[in-house]
Amino acid sequence: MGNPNSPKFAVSRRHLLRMIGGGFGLYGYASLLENSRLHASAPSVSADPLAVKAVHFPARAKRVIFLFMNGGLSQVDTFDPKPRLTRHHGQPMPGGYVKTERKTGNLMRSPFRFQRYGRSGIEVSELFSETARHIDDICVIRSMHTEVPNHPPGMFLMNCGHLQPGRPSLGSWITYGLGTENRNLPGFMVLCPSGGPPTGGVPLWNSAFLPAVYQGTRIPNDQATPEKLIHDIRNSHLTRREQRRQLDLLDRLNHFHRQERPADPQLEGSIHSMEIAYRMQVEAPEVFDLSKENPATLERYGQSDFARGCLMALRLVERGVRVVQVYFGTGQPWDSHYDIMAHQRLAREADPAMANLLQDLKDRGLFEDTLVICGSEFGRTPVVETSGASVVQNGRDHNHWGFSVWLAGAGVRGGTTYGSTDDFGFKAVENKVHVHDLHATVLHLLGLDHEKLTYRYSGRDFRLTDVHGRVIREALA
Amino acid sequence: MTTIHLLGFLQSPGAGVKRTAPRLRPGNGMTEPKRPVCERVGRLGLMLAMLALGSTAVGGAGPAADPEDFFELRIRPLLVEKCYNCHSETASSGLKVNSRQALIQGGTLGPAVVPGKPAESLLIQAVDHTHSRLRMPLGEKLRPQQIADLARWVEMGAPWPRSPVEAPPVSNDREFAITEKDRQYWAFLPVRSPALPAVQDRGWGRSAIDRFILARLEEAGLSPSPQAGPRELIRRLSYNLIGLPPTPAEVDAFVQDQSPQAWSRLVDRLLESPHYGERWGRYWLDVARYAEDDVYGPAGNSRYPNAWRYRDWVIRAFNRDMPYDLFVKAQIAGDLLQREDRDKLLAGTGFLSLGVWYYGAVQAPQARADERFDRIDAISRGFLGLTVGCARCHDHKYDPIAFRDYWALDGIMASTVYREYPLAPEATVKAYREHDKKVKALEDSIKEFLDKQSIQLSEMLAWKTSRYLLATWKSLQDPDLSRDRLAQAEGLDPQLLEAWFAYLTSEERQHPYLQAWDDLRARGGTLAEATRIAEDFQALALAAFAEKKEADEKNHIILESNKPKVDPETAVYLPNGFLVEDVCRICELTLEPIAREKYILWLDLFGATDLTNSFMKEEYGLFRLQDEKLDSTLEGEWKTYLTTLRSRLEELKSSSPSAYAYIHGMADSPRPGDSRIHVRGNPYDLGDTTPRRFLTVLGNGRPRALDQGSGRLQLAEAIARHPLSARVMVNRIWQHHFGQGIVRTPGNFGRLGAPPTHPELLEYLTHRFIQGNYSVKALHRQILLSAAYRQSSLHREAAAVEDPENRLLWRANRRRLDAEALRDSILAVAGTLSPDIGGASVDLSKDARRRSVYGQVNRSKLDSMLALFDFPDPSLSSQQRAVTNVPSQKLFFLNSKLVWEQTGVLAERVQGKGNRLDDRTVDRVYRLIFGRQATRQERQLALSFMDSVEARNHPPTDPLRQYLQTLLSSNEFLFVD
Repeated sequence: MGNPNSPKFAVSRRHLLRMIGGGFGLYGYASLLENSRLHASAPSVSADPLAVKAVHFPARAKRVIFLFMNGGLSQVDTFDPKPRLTRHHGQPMPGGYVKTERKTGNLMRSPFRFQRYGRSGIEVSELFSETARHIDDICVIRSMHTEVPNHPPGMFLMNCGHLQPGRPSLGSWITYGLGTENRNLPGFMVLCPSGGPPTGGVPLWNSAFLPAVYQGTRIPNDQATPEKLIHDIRNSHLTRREQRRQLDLLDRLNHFHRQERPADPQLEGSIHSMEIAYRMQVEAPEVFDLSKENPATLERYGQSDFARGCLMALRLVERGVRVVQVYFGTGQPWDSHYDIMAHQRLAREADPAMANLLQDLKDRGLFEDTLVICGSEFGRTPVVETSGASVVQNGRDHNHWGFSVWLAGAGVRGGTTYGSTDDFGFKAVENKVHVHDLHATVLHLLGLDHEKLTYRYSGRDFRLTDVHGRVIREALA
Repeated sequence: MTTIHLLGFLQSPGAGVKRTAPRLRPGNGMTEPKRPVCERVGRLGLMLAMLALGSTAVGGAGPAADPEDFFELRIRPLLVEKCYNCHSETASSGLKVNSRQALIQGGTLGPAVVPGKPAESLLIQAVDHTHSRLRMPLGEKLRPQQIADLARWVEMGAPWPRSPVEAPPVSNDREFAITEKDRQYWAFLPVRSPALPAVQDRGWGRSAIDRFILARLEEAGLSPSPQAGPRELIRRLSYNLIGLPPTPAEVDAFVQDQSPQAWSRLVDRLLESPHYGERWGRYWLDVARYAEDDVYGPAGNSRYPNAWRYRDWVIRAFNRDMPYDLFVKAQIAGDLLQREDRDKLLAGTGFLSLGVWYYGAVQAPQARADERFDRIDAISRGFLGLTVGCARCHDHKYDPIAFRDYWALDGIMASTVYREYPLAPEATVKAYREHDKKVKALEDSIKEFLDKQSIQLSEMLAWKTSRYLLATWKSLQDPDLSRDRLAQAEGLDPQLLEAWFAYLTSEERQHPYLQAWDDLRARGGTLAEATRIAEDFQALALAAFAEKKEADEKNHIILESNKPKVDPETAVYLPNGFLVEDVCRICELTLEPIAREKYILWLDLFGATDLTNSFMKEEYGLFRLQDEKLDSTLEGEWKTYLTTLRSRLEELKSSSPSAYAYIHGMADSPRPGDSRIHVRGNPYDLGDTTPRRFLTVLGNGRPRALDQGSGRLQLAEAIARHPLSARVMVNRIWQHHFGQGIVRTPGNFGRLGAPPTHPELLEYLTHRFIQGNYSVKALHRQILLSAAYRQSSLHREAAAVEDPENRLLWRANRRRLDAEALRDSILAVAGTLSPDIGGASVDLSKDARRRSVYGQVNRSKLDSMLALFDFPDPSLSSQQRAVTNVPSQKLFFLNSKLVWEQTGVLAERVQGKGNRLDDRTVDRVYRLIFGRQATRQERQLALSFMDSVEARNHPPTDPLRQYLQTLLSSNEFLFVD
């Protein structure tokens, strides 16, 4: 056997992992599909809400990892170099004051050095020098824009396509549209440390009006013990043998019960779920047990919560989980209002983790059909913040006018940039990409037509992209 | 009299009769998938309707019929249903059939009607298929009776009476017009009282409901299922009415009761149970999107401490059988009702006040507009089954609800404000507030004093900076030297020296001022060098302190002179004292900064909360002492002063009056007014104002103005008296009895909703409901006494092939317990469930006693067990719960603390002597958990399970508990037949 990390081995290993996960189908109820417009035919009574479903057109990506730099990543300090910003440091923003959340002053250059990377020669700042090694496989969208310069609505829009809570999350829509491959694990996982959710909270991964099976399962990625990772995953009183015996008895009892009540798919489904749950107790903790990884791997990713999150994300998609969202941390860590140098501290955790995630996806043969997204709810101003909330004036305010998001992996045209901001990195000006457009593109890569992925609720057909959205074909390979 | 007249909704009794239209196939089937059975049902419905019409038509349609009645009863509905799609707004072939004039004028083929001459009228030739080419309606032929009616009408001279509905369509926007066809939509019409349909099987069924059900079944060639067994029935009914399993004694009593009244007695007993309100109140709370907090809130606090009073109000309303129209009015305008018992209705406005608040999450215009949207959405879907929220940005795409209808209602909500109503005498409230003010003032004084001392002290300590550096240097030179001893020798504080040592030897520093020190450490050096570096650093530290102090003083002036000016006249208060005008006022100010590096140095040595750290953690500088450390430095008068303040605070707190109770309610704004339309729903693009009024389509011709005060009371009355609200509620009740509503989209009675499976039945029940003074309990009783309800849930292949979704109710639906019933049942069989009714909410993850309905409902974090079993998102009005089946639900049975603990309690409850499980114990267990005795086989299984556990495990975990856990995990426990 050759290198266990060679793609060939990886495929069979992946196959093996899926085999363990496959097997039984889950049975949902017809009521789940009653509103589904994805499935034109009449719902079958035993339809499985999480079964792998047909796509609208051939998919490039099978799964998604969304790395979320909550708080607001500054584009001019990371992926959107602006030489004129450096030259005009300390001068007023040409064209006049631009309103953001707080009071701002003059232009402020980036303290970080930019450098060209890869064959494409795309410039990335020193903050993400390791990630930049993969730049030829990354498409940087430099012309993102969103609606408001406030965290919670920005978070809701980026995650759920709507400014207020109460709409299904991107991950819920994807799981609703595609089902999931591994039935022993939830199809949509959200990794965020136990200290608290990102700003916006639980509604960020809610299924809202979609059936609850599509809601994200939150995993506190700072925890090491499986009990703390998945609710009720382990039995603290009974041995596995004792539990098996319980299940054998249960099978008999349910069998009697079902014999007298034939042809009820609910009862069948319930029995199958129990078997899957029994096996989940073994598989789920194993996924999160990072001690199973080579210590050198852990070392490469770093010691942060985010690093653990990235590594868990790798292990999850490897096992066929459909959507994994990794929040950088609790609250809004990237919110560097007063001192942009805080970005340096944060990037020290973010950069090696995401760079190694990309590397390992490649090494394990997953990169070709995994879409990796990295972004935040908005960007930051190229001008210094001077608001009354700040005493040190070395930071940047929220900026909804323009920011950067990058995509990598499945179906992404690597080594390219798309769109641009003005000369100072304030507003998106060329080939502007709204959050809805990003969502449309993500769904497209997954084989879903954002206009057809609908759900009938409250008298109308809802979409992730509302009545908007344009697929950014230029970003696609 | 066979038609209901609703409080002036109709102009005259006569008009009511005229407008009784036999339209029974609602909607246009736009999105309903074609279901063969339904199609047939539809036609049957139509036939029944004709029968019903025959029985209700005043004056009949016989030869002596009044021409106007004849037109209204036979002709207009026919034209509306069969012809309007193509010949009203759009005039296919140039022909409109929505007025006499238009018919006589005709279309491209010439006049459609020649009054008095049916044979020459194209209309008659077309429907009779006697014309050479023209055959109408497209794709079908009218029934002979209908054709005869039309011919007769033409013969009569085509009389077309003037009536309110004939008035030109109300156009409230250039593009949007409500047509007559819209008004004729079944859900908007006055309630009729259909005659009971004829059925063949006279042996089945006891009630009117059964006649309607049976008629549809027979039409489809199906028969009802036999009655379920008594054990199944009592279990079904008990869960249905009170959400709990029957006790073994209750089961025995019912099974043994042979009297014909046994069932109705059981129904009555359970309806009178105080637990009934807990079950049915919770159903309503889903609709009311009841929650006790929000995602946002001032300083992270968005809990509504008295929210539960609304929950209890709802429970009580059901228990006391509050008439539904009053229930509606109290929730929309309880504060405005001029009644003696107004105080008891006030809590009902929790329906509005506990909806989502967005506080300062986005700019005020957007946040407030979104909040009003939530209220309009909850009211319209909840009470009227209409999706008015769809018209926020544009006219409703499918239903006759104009963009302006939405903004008319928005004006009502914009004229309504949040208000807290204390449930204590004014003096008590005043005393509490004053006391609270005093406590806060004293707390502020103490904090201010300590801050001042801490800052002053840090300035003094700053003069010792160089000595701490030097001591650290010495310690580094001589690692064996105890730093405690060193501190003593140098006259330094040992703890502080420890902290300095850590600081000076760490790698992570954000300022450059210790570069020389780090170099010295790296290369080694002399004491003299160290001394110089230490003194330089101290000078820097003192300078940073001074600079920061100066900046703070200037900033203090800026902040003080920019304190927000709140105009009490226009201030908008949200719950938790949140003042809308107060959103991030400092965001707009520019303060005096200091250089970043100096700030970091200041922070490291003297700082309090680090604003550059986005976690906003409280981190104190080395010299900024806190708590006991700070206390220990205070002496003399300073110490006495602090002690005095603290004991005074203790005293005050110990004499604190307990917080007074209040109701989260609503009130009319002092300045009610109309809203300006938000162009495309955009709160920053305002158009002209729209007068506050009721939905045009429900307004019978002219929209009803709602302009007294906020208009809320008028709105409440308009909704409560409209038959649509009664239909919607009847359907909800039906839904919770049968698992599905007659309209299977309980929150959408519009065109995109599902058409009723039993339209006549819905009319019949609604009619009875209104006549019975909106008594919900009477409606329950009527439904529960039917044979339809008591059918077995068993599968029958032939029927299932014909009607797989059981739309026609050929059997009862087997249903999974919902989250609350499941949790409550586990506690109930274990004997731990508290029978207490009402009170403040508990944390269900910690409480294993109270019923689930008393658990906290948090929008920020739902209880995980409830969420696991499909509890709906409380930010949205939920009309119907999803029923999912996922493995994580099974983990709850396998591994949760709740299940394991309760099996322990249950084990104790059923245990005979010792751990041995004998036949009697197994029986007792079965009776408790399943309401029946165990079979011989089940007993044997139980005993052999116990034996195998005992034989194989040393020492075994309590085998009885293992066994009980298995039973609680079974399908029989989870599903109700």
